[in-house]
Amino acid sequence: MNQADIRRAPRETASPLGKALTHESAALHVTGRAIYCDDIGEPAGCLHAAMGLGPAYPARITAMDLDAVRSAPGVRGVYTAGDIPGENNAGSVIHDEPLLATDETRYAQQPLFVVVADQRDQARRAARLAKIEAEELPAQVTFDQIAEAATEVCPPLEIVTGSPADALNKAPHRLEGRIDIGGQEHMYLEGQIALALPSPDGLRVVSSTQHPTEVQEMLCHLLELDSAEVTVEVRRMGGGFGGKESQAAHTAMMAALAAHHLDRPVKLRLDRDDDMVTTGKRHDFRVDYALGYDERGRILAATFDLDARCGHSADLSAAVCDRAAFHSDNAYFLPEHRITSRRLKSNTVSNTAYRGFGGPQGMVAIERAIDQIAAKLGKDPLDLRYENLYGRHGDVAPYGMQVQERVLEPLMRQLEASSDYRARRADVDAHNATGGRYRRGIALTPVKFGISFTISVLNQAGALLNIYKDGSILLNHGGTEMGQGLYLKVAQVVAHQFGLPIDAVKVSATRTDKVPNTSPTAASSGTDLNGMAALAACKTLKDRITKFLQQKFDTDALPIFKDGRVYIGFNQMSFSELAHAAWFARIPLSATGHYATPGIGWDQATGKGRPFFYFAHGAAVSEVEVDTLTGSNRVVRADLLHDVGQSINPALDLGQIEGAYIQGMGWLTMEELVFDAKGRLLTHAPSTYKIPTASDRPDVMNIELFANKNPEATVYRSKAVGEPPFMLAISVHSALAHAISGLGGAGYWPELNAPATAEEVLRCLDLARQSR
Amino acid sequence: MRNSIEFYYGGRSHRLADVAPTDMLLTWLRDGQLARGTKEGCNEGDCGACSLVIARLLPDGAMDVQPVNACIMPLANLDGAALFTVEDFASPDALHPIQDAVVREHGSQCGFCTPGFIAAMVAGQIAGVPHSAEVQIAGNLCRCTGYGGLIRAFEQERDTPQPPAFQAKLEAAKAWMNNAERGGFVLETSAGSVFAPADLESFAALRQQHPDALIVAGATDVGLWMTKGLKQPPKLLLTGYVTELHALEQDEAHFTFGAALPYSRVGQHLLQDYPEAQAWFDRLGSVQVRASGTLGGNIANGSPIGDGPPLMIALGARLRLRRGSDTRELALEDYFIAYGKQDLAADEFVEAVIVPRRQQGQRLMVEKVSRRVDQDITAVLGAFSQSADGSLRLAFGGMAATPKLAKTVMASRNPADIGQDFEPLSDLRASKDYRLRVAENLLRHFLNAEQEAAA
Repeated sequence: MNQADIRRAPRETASPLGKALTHESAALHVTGRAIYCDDIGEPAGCLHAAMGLGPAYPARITAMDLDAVRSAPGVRGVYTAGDIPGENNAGSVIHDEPLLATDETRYAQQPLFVVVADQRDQARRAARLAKIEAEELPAQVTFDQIAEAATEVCPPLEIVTGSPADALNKAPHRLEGRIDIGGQEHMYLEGQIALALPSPDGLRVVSSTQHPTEVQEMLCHLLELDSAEVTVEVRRMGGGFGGKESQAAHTAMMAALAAHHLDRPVKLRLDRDDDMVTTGKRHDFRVDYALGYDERGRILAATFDLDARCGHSADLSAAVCDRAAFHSDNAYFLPEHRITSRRLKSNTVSNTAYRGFGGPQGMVAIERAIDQIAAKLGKDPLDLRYENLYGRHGDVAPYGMQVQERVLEPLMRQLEASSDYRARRADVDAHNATGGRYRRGIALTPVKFGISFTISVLNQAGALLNIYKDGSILLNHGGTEMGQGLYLKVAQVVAHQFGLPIDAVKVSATRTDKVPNTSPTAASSGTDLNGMAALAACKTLKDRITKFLQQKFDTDALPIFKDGRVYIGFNQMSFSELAHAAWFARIPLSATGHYATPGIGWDQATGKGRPFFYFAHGAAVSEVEVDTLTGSNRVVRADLLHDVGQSINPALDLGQIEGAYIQGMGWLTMEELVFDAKGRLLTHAPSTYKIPTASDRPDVMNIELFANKNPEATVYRSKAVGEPPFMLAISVHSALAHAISGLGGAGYWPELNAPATAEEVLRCLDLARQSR
Repeated sequence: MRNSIEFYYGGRSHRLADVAPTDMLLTWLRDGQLARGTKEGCNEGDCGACSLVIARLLPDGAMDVQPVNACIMPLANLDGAALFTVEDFASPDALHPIQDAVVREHGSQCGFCTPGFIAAMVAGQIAGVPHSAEVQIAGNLCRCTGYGGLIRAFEQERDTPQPPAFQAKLEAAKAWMNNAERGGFVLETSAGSVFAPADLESFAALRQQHPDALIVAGATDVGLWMTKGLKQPPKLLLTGYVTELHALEQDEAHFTFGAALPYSRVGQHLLQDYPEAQAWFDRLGSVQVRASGTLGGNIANGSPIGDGPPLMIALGARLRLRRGSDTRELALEDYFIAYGKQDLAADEFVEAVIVPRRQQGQRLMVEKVSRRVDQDITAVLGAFSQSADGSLRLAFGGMAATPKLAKTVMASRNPADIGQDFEPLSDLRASKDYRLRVAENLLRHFLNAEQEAAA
């Protein structure tokens, strides 16, 4: 694949590339025929597992009597840490997290054992019969507690440029503040699940996972097997959002442990409450910030101290917190700065990957700070956002990477006009000036999100492409399908390469025995990495076919693949005729492809380098309404404009943008994780943890793609889309603060935390009223 | 008395005798019938992934079509009903119009919630519901999309007639229901007994015979005791088949709602008199919850955060309780004594709720405050009624161990006195201070409007 090929926009109208095709499984979804892990017909003798949970507080376990569990109806086996043949570890990066706790539970309801029974409910009932004697240990749960204890699950990060302390002192104006940012439950509709199928020929595990290779590795450590003996498979997940990146392994390991001992198929599908209590969530953050600025609102210096509540173990916290630190600038140039990140240990479930991976938490503080500065200067915060964008006064990000692409200013200008932002802001202010029960607020905020795994080794992917002699194509790659449409996008690329309709390319389940050593489908990178790997496989096959055709027709012309046919010189044939002829000539029609993102890497010690291949951009205008009696609030209108580069599938991209915005809106408004003083999760089911429903969707929602092409050589110049639009929802939070601000005096801006629940909004409304 | 139940599913009748009190419809479908299109998302009726369509014949012969959550629907509640799942809607040649629209509008991403949405939307389409798509799918969670494609799909197809193949299935089900055996039944299994009398006299007798039996109406709460609490009640006494408990009467002075009437049917009548309660109704659970859940159950259950009782108290509702052949009536607010304690003898039960009709000049305000608009449990629910003579009934839920009148404020008309009426708890839904503050604000709003009207 040469550069010219990549740059060329798809021209053939018949090509599926760039078309708004519906999800490859849409017809299966709507008829209930899409098979998820729990829908696979259980093999004969399949047993069902459940987890046995520890006390409702961190504890030293002094005695564990499981006799009643073992003798409960239908029970076939009960397994504790002592039954693990290999390593009792569920920590993916640092081995600091037991799969099953032994003498100590570090958070409330940490799993202690696995029970297996003929029926699932028998296992669930039996799990509750354990007699556990325990001494309660102190629980460090709140930010005040963990910041004081200051125990970290992994080393901190500090990024410094210039002399920020001096610069802050010298700046004409100085702002200091703090914002608390809550976590988030993934609430994938399909909970964690795995089906372990032991056999003398090797262990096969069907797992709802974003990271089959890691599940495979963890199973190997658990059971002392080689990777070649373990196959992990996933056709589709019922949602992931990061919650099945590292967390899926726990379920798979417990199922496999039981299957190993019983030599029977074992399925473990976590009950929703067990899932929510024992699997990690988005990290909560507390950010202290200080900014120095001038009369125009230009930021001269900034410090951000980001504390993250990581839970009892490291999990992916290092990378999450790195990304948070890397996004504390969001889209703005900070001439001199100090950014610190502490990864604080707490006696709560270990927090993990969640769409945006720290980026959203990193960005929230600077957007709040800009709003505050604008209020103090009596300006529209949008003007301050323009003033501080990269490119105006500088273009080097804190981590030392040059921000070259100048997308945000034109994008924001376009959105400002299309959303009628200025006039609507004036309307909102006029409306609020009349008083009344309901106040409104409006805000336009941008997003600049770095694309690439910050753990550079993960930026690689593999694909396997088989052309069968009937001309049908089977595509397989290391990426997983969780609803984002990855399978379709990569298939569109392959179909385009061979000039075939989309139906000619069949995508098969992701399996570690087809494509090995894969990276998680995460960091929005699915299409970037797997699409390029598939392109590489296409190139190998097309090179072979070209050579074959040139020999066959004695020409040095290049073949053209178009509309299901192949043209070379004055010859042509259908693609299936070609496949058969190539097979007959003993040309290998199966190829692998591999891709590694070029030119990235950074130094953990200094926080400097090039962590990202490129940036994805977007901006949103949100308008909200706030009930001043109760603090209840809703988004009445949202205008989103987002940069996906050159879209491979606009329908899928728009779907990602819309869904990400709504999910981000939930995170910043109604979704609240409530723990008790001992760290027990009280919001442990959808009855108490509330994600947005249809009526929470803004009454008016305009979503558009910004016309752009990725300047980097990504697959057909597209850009990653999974995570970046999540942060468009920061505009909701800013708009809520705007609505509240009117109740205060001139220059007042509320210190609204996240989530902005009705209670938090009413707290700020009352403070605003008191400030006058 | 029969010893089995019978319902219509998959084009034929299913007669089941071995039905335990805890057997739920979703398990029967997925593990018994291997019909795995309907998903389990939460196992507590809060996500809608297990939604399917249930049809029942109403007393007037019309077919009542509703979506319900199969995960907490006891199998024993299905006698005489017909059910349709996501597998039923398409014909071999074509998707159902709702399915086709969801595909066309990119309404699915991961697809796990999709069957439940399809069921909720098809049910709404068949029933010809008057409300918006947002209300129809409020009981269904989708974490991938922003609901846009789903809303558009329903709005585009809501008036489309059922395709012939599915219409034929509906008619076959209706014919089956018309001929289905009715009357009471008793199911005896090793796991326990289910008593399902068909008339009030039998119900009252069984109640006296088995005061330890758990009375079950729509099971929207009791279902969770079983699926989440893993309770295995040995005896259930079902209200759903008792003709008299479905009574729906209205005269000039009162509505009388039988205790087993689902909210969906109560609302139709109540809202005619009290249109101010429309939002209260739309936010009471979801379409699925209102199709199964009953006003009587909501009251009898004694929850301090049920949405029904505060409004009923504000409206001056009375309860009719029955014990054998004896009945008594009491004001609803007097029924709630303390947390978990009601003025109800062990062998007594709620027979009906009697709600005054609207009076001339009556003013009503109902406000629910919760974390989320739809399908959420109340943090504070205020229901305020003022008669033409100026007398007030100010009722709250979520403010105390029971739904309760704010008697001090009713006398003083001073919202700041709210703290004398209530000492609410801080819990995961809201803090004590927030609850008091909101209650005071809402009262002030209501009472200010009174003063403004007077001035």
